Amino acid sequence: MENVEFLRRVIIGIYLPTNSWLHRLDVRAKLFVFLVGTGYATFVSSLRAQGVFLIWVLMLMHTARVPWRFAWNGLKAALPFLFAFGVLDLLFAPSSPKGVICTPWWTLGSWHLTNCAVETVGLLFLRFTVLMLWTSLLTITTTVVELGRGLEWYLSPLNRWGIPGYEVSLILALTFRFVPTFALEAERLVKSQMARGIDLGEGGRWRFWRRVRAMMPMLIPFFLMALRRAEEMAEAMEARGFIGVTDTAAAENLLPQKGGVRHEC
Amino acid sequence: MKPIIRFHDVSYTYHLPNGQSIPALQHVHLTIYPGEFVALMGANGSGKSTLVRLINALFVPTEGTVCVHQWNTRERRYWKDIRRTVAMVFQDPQSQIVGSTVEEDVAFGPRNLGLPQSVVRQRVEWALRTVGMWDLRQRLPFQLSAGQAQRVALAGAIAMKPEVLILDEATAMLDPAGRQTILSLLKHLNTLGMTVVLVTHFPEEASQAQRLIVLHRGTVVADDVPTRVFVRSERLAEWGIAAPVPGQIARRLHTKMPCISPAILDVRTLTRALEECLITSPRQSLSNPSPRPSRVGQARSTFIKTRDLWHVYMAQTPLEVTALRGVTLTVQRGASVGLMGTTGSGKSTLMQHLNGLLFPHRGEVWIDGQEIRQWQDRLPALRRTVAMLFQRAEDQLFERFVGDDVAAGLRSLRLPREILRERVRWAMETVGLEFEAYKDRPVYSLSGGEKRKVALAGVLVLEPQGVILDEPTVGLDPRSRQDLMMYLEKWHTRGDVTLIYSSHSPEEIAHMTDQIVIMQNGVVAISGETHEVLYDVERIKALGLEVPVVVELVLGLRSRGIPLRGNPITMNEFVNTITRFFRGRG
Repeated sequence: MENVEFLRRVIIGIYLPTNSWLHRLDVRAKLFVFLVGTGYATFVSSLRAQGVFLIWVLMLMHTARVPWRFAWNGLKAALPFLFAFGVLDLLFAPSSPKGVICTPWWTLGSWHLTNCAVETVGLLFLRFTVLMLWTSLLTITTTVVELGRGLEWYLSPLNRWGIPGYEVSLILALTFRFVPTFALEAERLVKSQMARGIDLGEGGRWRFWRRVRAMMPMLIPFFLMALRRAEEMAEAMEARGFIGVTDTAAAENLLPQKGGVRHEC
Repeated sequence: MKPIIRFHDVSYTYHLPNGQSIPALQHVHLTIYPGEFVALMGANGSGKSTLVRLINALFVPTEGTVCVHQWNTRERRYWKDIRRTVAMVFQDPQSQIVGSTVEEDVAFGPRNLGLPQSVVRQRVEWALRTVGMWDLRQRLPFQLSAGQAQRVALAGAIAMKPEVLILDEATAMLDPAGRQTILSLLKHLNTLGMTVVLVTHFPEEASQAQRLIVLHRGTVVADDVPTRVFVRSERLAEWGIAAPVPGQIARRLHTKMPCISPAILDVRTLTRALEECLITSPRQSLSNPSPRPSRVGQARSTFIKTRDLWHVYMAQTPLEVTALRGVTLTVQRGASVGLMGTTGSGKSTLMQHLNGLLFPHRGEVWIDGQEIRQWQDRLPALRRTVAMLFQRAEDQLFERFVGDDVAAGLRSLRLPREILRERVRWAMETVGLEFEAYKDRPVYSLSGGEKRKVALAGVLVLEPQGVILDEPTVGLDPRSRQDLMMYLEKWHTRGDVTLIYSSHSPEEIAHMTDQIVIMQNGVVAISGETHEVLYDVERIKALGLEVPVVVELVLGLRSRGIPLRGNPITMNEFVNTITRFFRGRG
């Protein structure tokens, strides 16, 4: 029996202070390599190239002292989704794209399983795995504030057009900081429903659709929670001297007073 | 002396999207001087949070003026100065930690002030050493207990070297030891010259302040020394705040024993007054205390049992935490068991094993005669047999209308409409929500206390054989707390349901339970019958927990040679014991 433990499945957004050379590397360099790598994994469509990239990512993970188990736990969570997409792809994707000669391996009526289709699905699999590990490698080795400062350096030219680099970067970086928090909250939400006998399709690993359907009503409290968290965080940040891009509650009463005498301090 | 904060005729109104406007504060005048320690109390919705947010310009008044030093909060150019001067700690520690590590988070404020790196580093070290978290500076936010996280939040605030420190119910989610730590830190910072504004529901905390301000429906109704505010008993209930427990006891005794002044507020004075009162009355025969009606002794069958139960979170990751280390426990059918322990002692983890929400990594869990593995294919049924109410369950309601949410757990049973309706009606009325009036109300329109009741009804409606309540009153104001307790007690004395009840309040545990299990560090530290365990004062205090005030009074009186018999643990029992003793002599 598997425990409901969402946080164990999260690898993106968790900082592991293992103090490797990747942790100490200048954040601007890290961000540059990250962007190049992300572009590469997104646009290169060769199985071999993706495979090589994956090996490289795994090597980096190893030198960053990320335990294999930790990475595997994160990937495992995504597997059912990947399988579902893979199967859909095999069933409905064109079995031979235009201008490519494919070898049919197996035929059932008008449906062919070709080497091209299998390659497409393999590519999807590899690409997703690579991107997931790649992103988590960045957040495993970089703290939120560091990430914010790195982004700020890249965004600083935008200051000229009145876009506040520091604020925008910090907000981008905080998105990652919230991933584990949301995982914990979602877990609490799901458990508290299960605790009163509501069947959320546990057990059977392949009762995927049932599980998705049962979770739908949870989305509303989840979003409410997310909004509340965001609001609380915004307040806490402002209280600590972070003057945000737009101000929250204070804005509307800043204008000259409606009636009454202005009292000087 | 020049005041540091001034409110001049301040009103604040919330404007809702539907055009409605709700006045939160009305014509408040207030002056706070440097170095003061001010407590702020009031029922939920009385305007406390709004008031403190007006101080540091998170809110700007709808009418009137708020000044910090010579800065008007309405002027944006002063905000940086104002926030450097007035720091704030909020209720939920997890949503105010910005950084990836403790150290980085504490540096966030000083960095925003634009201080040089070397000064930031000094400030961070000073702040973390002050709150005793320097050794844990590399920890990640979600690895901290609530108490630790709140100390980090406090460090983050004082690292800005503010002149004023505001705590907005910052101790509400902590255990007694955690609250005590924060409170002594505040006193220390206050002696260093920091002005402290403490928003709290706990009268024991407020009585430590020099000055207590009470808000009621957006206006200041009391502003005085705490002791003078708390003795104005007739108004306290109306304002929705509670007096310290010794004060409540003194007032109740006063009606039967005029020699006890109703103005007493602390344990020591009350003990002395009781001693004089009881000794000066002429000696007569001692009456026998009536034994506490106990359901423990009756022969019962085992309902829940665990043997050498272990649980590990984040297993096989670098963030692994062992939460339970061999818990062995038996709960009899129909018993009511109180679960105590500091945060992080394993209470919540243990409770989630007792209805199949978590599964052991090692050891066994038996529920209703079957091992947890035998329940595997019937988990929803198991959870209807032993249902659980989570902490702050009001956040987890998901239907739009009250009636639907209460019925949600029954839906898969496909009961006939009429029966379903009757059960929902019964559950709602059991927690004090009138069925016809509430069933079609949208959940969002209810108050926090009412939502908590809806969540509780959603558990009781299953008519489970066992109910697990995880800190059911946490975060409620005294009025909603009392209300909820009253209905819970009524429900519990009527039925024959096994109850497992966790709380940090020894008064509640004394009230609701016959047996106690005290957890520490993932194992059972003390267990036994409630009225015996709660008299084991030294061991309980050593675990960072508290005993009921009543117990301290009885032990104090015994040490002064007054032979009170029986072990009263609730206020009722104590008042009965004392008055019987008094009449026996008088």
